[in-house]
Amino acid sequence: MSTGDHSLQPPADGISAVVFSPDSTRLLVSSWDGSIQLHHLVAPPQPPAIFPHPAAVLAICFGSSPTIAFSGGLDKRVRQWDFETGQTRVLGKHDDAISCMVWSAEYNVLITGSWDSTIKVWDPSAEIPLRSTQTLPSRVYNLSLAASTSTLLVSMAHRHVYVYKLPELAAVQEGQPLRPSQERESALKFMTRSVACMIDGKGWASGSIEGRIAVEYFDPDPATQSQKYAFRAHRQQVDGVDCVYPINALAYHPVHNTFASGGSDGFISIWDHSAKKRMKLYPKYPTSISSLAFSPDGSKLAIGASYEHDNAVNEHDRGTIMLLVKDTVMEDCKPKAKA
Amino acid sequence: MGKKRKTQVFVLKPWCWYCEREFEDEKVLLQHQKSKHFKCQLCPRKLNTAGGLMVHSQQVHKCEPEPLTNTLPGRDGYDIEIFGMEGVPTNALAEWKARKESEAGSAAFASAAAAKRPRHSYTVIPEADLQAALAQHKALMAARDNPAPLMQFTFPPASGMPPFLPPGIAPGFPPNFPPNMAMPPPTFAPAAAPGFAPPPGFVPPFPSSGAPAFPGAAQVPLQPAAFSSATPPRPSPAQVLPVGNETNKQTAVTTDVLPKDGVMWPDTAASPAEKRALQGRYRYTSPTPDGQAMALEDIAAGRKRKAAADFL
Repeated sequence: MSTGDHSLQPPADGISAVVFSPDSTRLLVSSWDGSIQLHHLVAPPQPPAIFPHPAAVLAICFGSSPTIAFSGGLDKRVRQWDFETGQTRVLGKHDDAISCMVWSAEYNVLITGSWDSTIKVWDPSAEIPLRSTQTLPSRVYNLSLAASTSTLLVSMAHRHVYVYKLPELAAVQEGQPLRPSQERESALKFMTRSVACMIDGKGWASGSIEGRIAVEYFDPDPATQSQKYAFRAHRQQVDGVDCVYPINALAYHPVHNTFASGGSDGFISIWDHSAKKRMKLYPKYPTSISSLAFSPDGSKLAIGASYEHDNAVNEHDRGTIMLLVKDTVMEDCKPKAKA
Repeated sequence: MGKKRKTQVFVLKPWCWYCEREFEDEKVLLQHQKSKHFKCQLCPRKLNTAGGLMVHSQQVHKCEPEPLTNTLPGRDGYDIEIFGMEGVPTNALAEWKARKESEAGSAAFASAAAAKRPRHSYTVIPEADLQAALAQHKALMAARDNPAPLMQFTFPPASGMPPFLPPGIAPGFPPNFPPNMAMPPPTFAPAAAPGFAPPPGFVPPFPSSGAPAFPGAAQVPLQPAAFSSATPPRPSPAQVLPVGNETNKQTAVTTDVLPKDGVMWPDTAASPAEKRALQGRYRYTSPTPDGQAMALEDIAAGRKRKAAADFL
C-alpha cells in the first residue's frame, strides 16, 4: 500500500483541498475541521502551522508569493492570509458557502465561486477588494484556470459549464454583467464533481459523480469539438454489483500535460488524454481521495485522502484521514513515446 | 572427513542477471524474471524474454518499450536476450563465479578458523580488560537495584508550551514568529497544562480572552493575528467546532440518498459536500445578524458550548 509516499500530519477532519505554493516549497491543506494547515516541504519535518477559521474551509489558494494565501468555506467569507506576519484580513463575503477559488498571477486577481450561484473577482491590493460579481444559473462547484490561454472554467450544479476569458473578467467593474465566452453543458450526464484545465489550455477534463471522466476542448470549431470523449473510470465490481464512485479530484501535470484522477474508491490513476490511455494505476488507498495537486515544478503530487460523505467508504474506515506527498510523478506522468 | 568436504564443494546457484538475486532452482528464476523484469507496464501481460517484451510493446501498444523494471543500474536494456541462466554474458558469469567463489572461500576459511579456535583461552587476561568488565558489571547491577528515572522531566512552570505535548501535535504556532516576540503566549489554559495530552491531530482550544470582536461583513483593516491559534477572528469559544470527534456524526440531519445499483451518489440535486455542510457539526451561523435564524444559532451554540467546555 502507498509505497514511497511521504506522509504528513493530517488535519482532524476531512480534507477539502490541497494546494502547492508557486515555488513548490509549501503545501497548504484546508479541512472540514475549520482550519488551514501550512506544511514546509523543504524544511526538516515539523508539525504544520495551523490557522483556524470559524467554520469548515472548502477552498484555498496561494497568491503570487508563497507567504500569501486565501481561504473560504462555510462561513462565506473570503480571507487573505499573510504567513510572514501571521496577519489575516477578510476581503468580503458571499451569500453562501465558498466552494472554490483560483488566483491569477497574471492579472493579480482572486476569483471565488460559491453555492450562492455567483463568482466574484477580488483585487486584494485595492482599497475595496471586490471588483465584480457575476451571477450564474446555478451553484458553483469548481473553478479551473488555464493560465496559458487565460481561460477560466466554471462548473456548476445541473451540469452547467461556463467559460470566461480572464482579461474580460478581470477588467469588468462591479454591476456590469459579463457574458461568458461560452455557455455549455457538461458532456457527462451526471453532476460534475471535479474539473481541471489542460496545461496547454486547449481543453479540460471533468469528472462526474458517476464514475466517468470527459475530455473536452475549448475551441468551438466542429472538428475540434468532435474530438471530445468520455470514458468510464473509478468503478469496481463488488459482490457482482458494478460499483460506481464519484471522481473527487482531477489535476493536470504541469510539465507532461497528463492528468491524475482520484475517486471515492481510493484509487489514483494517471491518464494521457491525447493517447487515450491510462498510464498508471497506483495501489488503492484505504479511504476516498478528496483532493489532488501537482506541485508547479511537476515533481510532487499531494494527496488528501478522507471520507467524502458519499457512502463510498464503509462505516469502519470513515475516520481515516491521510495527507501524502508522492514524489515519483515526474516519471510516472511522462507520456509514453509513440513508436 | 565427509563433512569437511561438503563445505568445500562449491555449487553455483541459478541467479538473475538483472537484479543479481540467487534462486533455489531455475524454474523459480524463470518465474521471477517473468514477473519482475519482463512485465509489460501497459497491460498485465508477462513475457518470457526482453526481446519478447520489446516485440509485444511495439506490436500491441505501438510504442517503444520502457526500460526493464526492477533491474540493477545499466542492466535495463533490451540488447541482451536472457532466459533464466541462458544468454548471460560470459564475462558477467565469470565475474559472478569468481565473486561467489571468493565469498564461499572466505566463508569456508572463516568456518575452518572458527572450528580450530580453542574453546578456552589460557592466556592471562590483561588488567585493563578485567577493570572494564568489572565496571560494566557494577553499572549493570546498580541499574538493576536502583532503576534510573529515565523519563524524568522537569518543566519550568512559566513555560508557555504545554508539557507532554507529543511530537506531531501541532501547537498551531506558525514557524516564523515576528522577531520581537520571542516567546509565544500561552495558548493553553493553565489548568490543562500538566499531563494534558490531546489526542493526535487535535486542534487546541482557544482562550476566550484573545478573541477580538468579530468585525462582520465589511472589510477589516489588517489586524494582528500573529499567533494563529490565539487571535484569528473568532467570536467566542462557543463557536469552536467540535473537531476530532468522529464518533458523534450527526448523519440524521441529512436525508442521504442511499446508493442504488452500485452508484454511490445517485443524488443529482446536491453534491456530497453540500449535504455534508448541512450536518449539525458543520453548521455555521454568522455572528453578525444578517437574517439568519437566531434560534438555530442558539441550538448550535448550546451544543458547541458543551463540546468546548469539555476541553477547558
